[in-house]
Amino acid sequence: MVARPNPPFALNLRRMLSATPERVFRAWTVPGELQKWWGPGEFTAPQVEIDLRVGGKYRIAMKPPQGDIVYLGGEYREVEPPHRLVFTWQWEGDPAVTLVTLEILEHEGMTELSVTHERFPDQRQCELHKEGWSATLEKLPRVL
Amino acid sequence: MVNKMSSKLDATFSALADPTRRAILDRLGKRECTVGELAKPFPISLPAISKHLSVLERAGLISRQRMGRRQVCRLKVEPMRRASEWLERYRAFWEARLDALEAHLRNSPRE
Repeated sequence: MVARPNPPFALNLRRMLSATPERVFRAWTVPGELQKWWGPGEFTAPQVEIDLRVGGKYRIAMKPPQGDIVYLGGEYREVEPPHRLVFTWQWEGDPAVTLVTLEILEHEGMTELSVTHERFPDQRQCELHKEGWSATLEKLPRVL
Repeated sequence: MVNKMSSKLDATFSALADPTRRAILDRLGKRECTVGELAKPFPISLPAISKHLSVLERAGLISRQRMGRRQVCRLKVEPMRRASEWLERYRAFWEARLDALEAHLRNSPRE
């Protein structure tokens, strides 16, 4: 089937969660919390570093069941607890920088979490990042 | 090889980031068109349309061919397919993450 340009050049997922917005925001931003749900499934997250502020960086070690650790990292662009978090997303060794936007809204006692993942958010930023990476990583698309 | 594929995807998504270009691709998805036909529905000038077409061509999303006095534009499906694949991989990834988040929140309600 031919992929159509309308709508998806960005991905958006939504979930209704039985938790307060504050709780949901914490799950994304406290390293001990993030590790508990980022890990289970195909891979674990043995190491999580988070510097939660605009311009601050995060780095997550992701270990697949078989194979080497791959590192995911990026920078926080917007930090507005508990409702909004925007950060770049980059697999170490891959020049591509993408952008993730979280919107966390209370809705009738539940919390709606919206995750938007966009490719190529900022050309200039992407160019700057490209200059930094020289290593080539073999395995990383396979974890997806 | 990762870098080459990555920059191709970048070019695709960058080309797709504009609504006029998306509309152009949508029309070409139905059938090939001349530049004149593509320009008609838009309230922007022909040179502006031409600029968009250049972006799409450089991204490998369309091809242009001169036929007499007219230029015919055609959609090239491979980059779109790759972009679509990228999105689907990430969709699967995120669905799994959010399932895990849901379970985590359910299992530790008092934190």
